Amino acid sequence: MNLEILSLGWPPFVIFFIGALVAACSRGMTQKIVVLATPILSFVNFYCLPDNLSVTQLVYGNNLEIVYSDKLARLFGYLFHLAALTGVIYALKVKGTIQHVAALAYAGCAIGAVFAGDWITLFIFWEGLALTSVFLIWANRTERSFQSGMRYLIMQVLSGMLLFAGALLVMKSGLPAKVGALSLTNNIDLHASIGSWLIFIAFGIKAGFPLFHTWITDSYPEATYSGSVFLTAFTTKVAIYVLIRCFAGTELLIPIGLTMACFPIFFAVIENDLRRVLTYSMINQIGFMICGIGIGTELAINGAVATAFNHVIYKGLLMMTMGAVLYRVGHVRGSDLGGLYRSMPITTVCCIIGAASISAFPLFSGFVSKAIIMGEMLHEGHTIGWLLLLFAAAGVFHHAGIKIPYFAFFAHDSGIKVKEAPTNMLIAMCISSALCIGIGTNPQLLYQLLPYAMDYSPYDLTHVVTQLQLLFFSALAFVLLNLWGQYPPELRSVNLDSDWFIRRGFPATYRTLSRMFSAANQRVGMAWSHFWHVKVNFLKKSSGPYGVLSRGWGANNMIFIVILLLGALLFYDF
Amino acid sequence: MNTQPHNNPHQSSGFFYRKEVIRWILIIFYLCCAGLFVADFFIHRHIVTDVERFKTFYALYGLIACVVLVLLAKLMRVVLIKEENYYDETEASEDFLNKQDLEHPEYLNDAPHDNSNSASRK
Repeated sequence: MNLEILSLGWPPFVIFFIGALVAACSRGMTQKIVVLATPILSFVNFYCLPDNLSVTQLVYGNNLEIVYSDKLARLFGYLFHLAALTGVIYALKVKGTIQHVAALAYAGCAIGAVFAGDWITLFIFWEGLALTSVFLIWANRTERSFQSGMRYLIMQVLSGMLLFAGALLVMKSGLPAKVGALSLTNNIDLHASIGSWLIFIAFGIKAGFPLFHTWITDSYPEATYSGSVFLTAFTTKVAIYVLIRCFAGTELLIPIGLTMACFPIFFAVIENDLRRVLTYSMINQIGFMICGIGIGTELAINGAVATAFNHVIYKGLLMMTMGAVLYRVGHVRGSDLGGLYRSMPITTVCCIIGAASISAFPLFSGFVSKAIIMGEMLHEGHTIGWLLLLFAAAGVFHHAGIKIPYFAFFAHDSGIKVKEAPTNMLIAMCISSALCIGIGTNPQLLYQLLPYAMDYSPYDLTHVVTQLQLLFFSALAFVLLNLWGQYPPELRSVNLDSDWFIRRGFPATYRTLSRMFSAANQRVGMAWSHFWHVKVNFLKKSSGPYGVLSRGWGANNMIFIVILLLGALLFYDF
Repeated sequence: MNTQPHNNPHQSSGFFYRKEVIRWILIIFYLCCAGLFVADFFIHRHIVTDVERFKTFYALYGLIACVVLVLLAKLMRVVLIKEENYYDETEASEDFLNKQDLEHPEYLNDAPHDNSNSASRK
């Protein structure tokens, strides 16, 4: 390891792991102080590190680049420290050690993955993300959360295995071990080609590509009220980061991103669990980022990074508000909530700020980032793609911007009377809300951190007016459909998604096949048994105690046979 | 399956449940919509693609997109909706069936004498 690096500070993820270890060994107030101090100390250490940094370590003859830092990595580093800090403040009153330890280790793995310089280091942190975060789901300690955590783990480990296999193939083909740009089409040999595809799919699983997305909608709503706040921040954003690093400009990402932006909004409209609505809207937002990565221009990449940055904050905020409702009320079913604005006014205001941000209202953070991607989509000539993104933008306002605050805090009066969220939760929510408004009103604060320099201002008349028109008329649709009784009511229900195939389809097919084989096997077994039965009877008759071949023969019979044989011999010779 | 929305048994009270407040909010909202709709005829927008040349394009697109979204989602729900504990029940009942299968496998029914075998399979 370069000693000069040590003199400047530790690798950015180390303090989180030390914090997790100390938190595991401490209890009560000490534990809370450790949990709170970890992201702050880590941030100070991280801030002091030089902008362009490379730390290598020789492991079993391989030179692993355990830390590689550039502008892009640093931005995600800041973001993950911020998410970890607001997360730990929010989760400060969580009882039990496991969640605190898991959350700190999870944040450490996310930061480690962002700064991983080579494939092997990335793989280690990639798997670390899965293994640490699953405890935030299991910590709910219900049968449902256990099953969901197992499904989550299977998908995450599958992604890790594909990444590892892909990385080995890529390195075997002679490409550098450094995490860098890959191509799906132009490769030097078959190894590189297959390896790139495997890595692409591995990233895709973590990013929630269509059909791989159900681990998000399945497991995040089953996590604890604070666990889902951490979960929304890290895993998928690490995937976005590595996609930017390795597959920027891959055109295939545009249709994938458009699909992700559009299809979840249909599910979100009819979903009853409000945290699950947020996970669908999360896939929708990731779709925007994937489109930006697919377009691949400097401005589009900046747009994707800025959207990821803002998304962690506003989606974290929305998750926090729903977590607060879950904490106080005990559930987040839209069908049974409503009228909570009287009991939880600050949470309501924070939720509305988060909703305005995700909907890209002017003066809120979503507006200053989403606009870049949509503008680039249009400028690069993808008119159909732009229309679909416009549809997705209207849809996200509909389901996340209106539905979440409306059904939780207004709508029909559920008569639920609870206390306002605890102070630590309110502080975390207020920090996130302030960031949403701060970035929305001063976008240059964020723009200067983006990987490419740009001269861009989102606040021109055209953009503000068109965005307001889109949003207000989306809201008008909601109002009119509600007044006409056409809006689908929130129902206690579950909606089938593609995870049905994993949860019901495959097991049912397996059982059917198993029964078929079992029946066939039974028949074969019976036939086999019958065959042996016949054979044994035959042997019994022939060689049994009284069988022809084994019974005792008298001497006269022996002499008779010998005479017969001799007679036959004589006859033959004659 | 309980698919009825929550029926509130008591009187709603609170600022945002007062009829006149709701009416005023809606009036202000409609006025904003009307203002934005009309504004499109007076301001000069930057145009990149031909679709945008159509006056009030963004307003109408937002309105129609959301109506289509909701109506399609309603249709989707007809096919996709299941009871709240659909997976729990089915997964639990599957477990039960599997246990039943293990405890009383069909093939053992044909061989009622083989009790020792049945016990060992448990």
